[in-house]
Amino acid sequence: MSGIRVTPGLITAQVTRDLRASLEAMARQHRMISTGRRVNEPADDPGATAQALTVRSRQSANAQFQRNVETARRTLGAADATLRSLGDALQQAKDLTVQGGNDSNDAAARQAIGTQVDQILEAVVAFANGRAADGTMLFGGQEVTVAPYAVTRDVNGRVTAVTASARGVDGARPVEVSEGLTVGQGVGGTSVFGATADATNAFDTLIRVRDALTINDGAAVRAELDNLTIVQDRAMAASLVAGTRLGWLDELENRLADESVTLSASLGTLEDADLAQAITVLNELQLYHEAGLAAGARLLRQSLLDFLR
Amino acid sequence: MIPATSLFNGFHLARRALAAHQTALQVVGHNLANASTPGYSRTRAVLTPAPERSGVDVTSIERLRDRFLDFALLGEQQALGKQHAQAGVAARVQAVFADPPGEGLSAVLDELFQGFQDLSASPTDQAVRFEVKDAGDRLAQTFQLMRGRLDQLKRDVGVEIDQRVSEANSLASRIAELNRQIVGVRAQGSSPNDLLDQRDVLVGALGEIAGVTATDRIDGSVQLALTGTGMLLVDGFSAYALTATLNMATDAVDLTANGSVAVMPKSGQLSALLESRNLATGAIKQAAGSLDTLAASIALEVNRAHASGAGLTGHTSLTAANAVSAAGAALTAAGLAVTPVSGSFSVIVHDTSGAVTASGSVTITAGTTTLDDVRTALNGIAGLTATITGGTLSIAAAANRSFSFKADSSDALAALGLNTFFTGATASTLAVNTVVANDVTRIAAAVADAGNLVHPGDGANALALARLRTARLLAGGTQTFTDFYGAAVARVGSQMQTASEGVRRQEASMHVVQSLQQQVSGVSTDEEMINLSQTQTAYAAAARYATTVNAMIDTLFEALR
Repeated sequence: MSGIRVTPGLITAQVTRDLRASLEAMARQHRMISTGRRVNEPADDPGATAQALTVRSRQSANAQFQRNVETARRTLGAADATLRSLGDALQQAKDLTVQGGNDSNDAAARQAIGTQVDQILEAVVAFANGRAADGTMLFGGQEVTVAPYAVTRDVNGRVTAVTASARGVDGARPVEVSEGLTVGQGVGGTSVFGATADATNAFDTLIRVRDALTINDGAAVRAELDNLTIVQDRAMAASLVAGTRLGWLDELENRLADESVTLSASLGTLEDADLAQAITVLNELQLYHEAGLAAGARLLRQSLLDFLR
Repeated sequence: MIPATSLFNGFHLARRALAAHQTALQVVGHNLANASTPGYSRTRAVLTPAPERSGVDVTSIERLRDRFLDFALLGEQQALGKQHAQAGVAARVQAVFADPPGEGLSAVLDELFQGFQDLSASPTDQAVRFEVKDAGDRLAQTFQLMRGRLDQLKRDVGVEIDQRVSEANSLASRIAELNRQIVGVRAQGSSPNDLLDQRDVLVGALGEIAGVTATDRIDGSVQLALTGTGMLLVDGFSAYALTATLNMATDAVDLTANGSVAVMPKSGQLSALLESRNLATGAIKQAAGSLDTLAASIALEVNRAHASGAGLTGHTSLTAANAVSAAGAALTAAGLAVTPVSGSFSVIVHDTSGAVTASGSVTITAGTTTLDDVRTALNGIAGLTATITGGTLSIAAAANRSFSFKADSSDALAALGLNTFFTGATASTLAVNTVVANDVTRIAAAVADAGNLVHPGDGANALALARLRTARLLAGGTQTFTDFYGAAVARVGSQMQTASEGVRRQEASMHVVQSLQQQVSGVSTDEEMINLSQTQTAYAAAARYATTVNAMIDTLFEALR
């Protein structure tokens, strides 16, 4: 600094400026430490702020997908449980048909078996119009508010026909469980029970078995065995589909949980302060600030006046 | 041989020396007294030997000041004024956009799309429907709040401009008055040092506000022109006032100089304030524009998808939210915020059981189809009555009938505000359509199937709405809503970053010039103490000389006695 005329005014300005700068740096560091965040306002890192917004939006979408998986699992789970009971009921119906087809049975025995088949038919109808925990229909497709299967009964109260709603029982009810990926949370009635027009649908087949048993027609009972197998296979296939979907949902849930961790981590990288480093830097700044204060105080105090007398 | 002068002249010489050093002493005292006065320039008594060995004279009191540094400093000061004003506005714009994590616009936007997701999974759940409506309300309110704060900021900046202008005008007249005094003092042959210091301080302050170029005139007055425009603010003893007026038509504050000449300062606080207040590319209008674009895009895209869907219950009567300028004008030129395109939409009439009783398609041809045509087409569908009142279309269903919409490829429904989720097309007007707000079952979660039946468990339209979250619909199909908002926030942030860096840089560069000026003009107390001792000694020596002369005269008189 040779040749420079240094005045107290110059020193004062310099010291004030330097102290202000170091205080400002300390305040910034302190804010970082006390909030735990590297980015406290967009100006701290505009790029990271924008990225963080996107990541946070993905995070909330991810949480939503997890919730959707939960919803789908609840609905599918209810359908799955019902399908398992249906499988048991149909197996029982088949056993009874095999038993009733045997000509060693007399009319009364067949009548008794027919009554049992009728009870199974009632159960199957109840399953078909079953509801999930939230009150929505399990096998009505998108018709979730009203019973999808209309039941016609004769004077004795016996079921004579079961008709699927003309408004459809198969509409898909997809929910999004991952970006662009949907899973049907409903199980279409037709896939479980067969179409109303199809003679091998579960209801008509059971009605025919029951009626054949009631009128003691052994040949007709035996003739329905194949149809019952079709009914059983259909229900089995639907159950399998629901089960597979449930398994897939479990897998998805794990993946979404993993993704949630990844997203949190990347948000941390974008926004979080490195505390250890921040504290070290603060200490360093504090040291310099104190040194600056001491030096400034000494420099400003010095005057020729102290030595003149 | 040089002849000796009269012995009595020695007294004159001593008197002169004493007087000169007294003046020099006074100058030192003045310097010391003003050691910490801002803008003060140290002065020095210029001693010159008097002719004919007659001692010393104070020829002038010199003001130690570098005029070039003055001009440099003036430039730095006004640049700093601009940076400061810019940073101030940027900080306030940033405050509008600085959302704490999980709050603010992007969060409520996410909530709306989450609501649509929930709705697609549970279309019959009333609670979910209310949540969707509330999320829509929150989004609209957040837009309104942010836009309102930007409008407030615009007004605040307008007020600040007014204040700065009146400060500048008062500074200009004070400078003109100082010009008069300085010219007067100089005419008397004195040095108006302190007046010059005062004037420099005022010129600096004026430059910081308005950005001025100073020119020294031969008579000692300073002429000030608005930098970059040549408009005079101070000329001689006259000051010319600036006037700021709000122009409602252009939504700008106009600055005029000397009565009527429109000016735009190039530096100083006013330049930054006017830029950020007036320019479409300024911080405030740009931010407001981004919000409006985003709000318009969200409203359009959500409405477009919503209008083609059907709610849990159909409409029995429906009035368009947006009116056309003339029912006989083509819809594409009828003053609608959204312009329909060629295409069609279907209307389906259901009975109370939900069975279809009638349906029809309304075709829109861009540039041709009028609202009257739409009314005629709707009236052709059994069970519907359409009317137009003051440019607003209303549709009513016959008794025991309700109607729904399907497959609008023309944007006509979104444009007219029929079966939409939002109304309004800017950040300050966005709101949830009252039709939906009053009856959440009207939220269109379903899409009528191929047979035109609407199924309560159908969430296909809600899913389509939810998927808008990831659709790239902005900035030429490259950005999602969140991306676009993120870019706006990043822009605001980097404006702030640039502005505060600019302030730091400018402060550093001003500090350099200030130091240089301090080096020339700053009072050093130590230096003055030394001057003081030196002058004191010289004064004492002059006194001793007088004593000696006196003694010599005594000696002479003694000898003559």
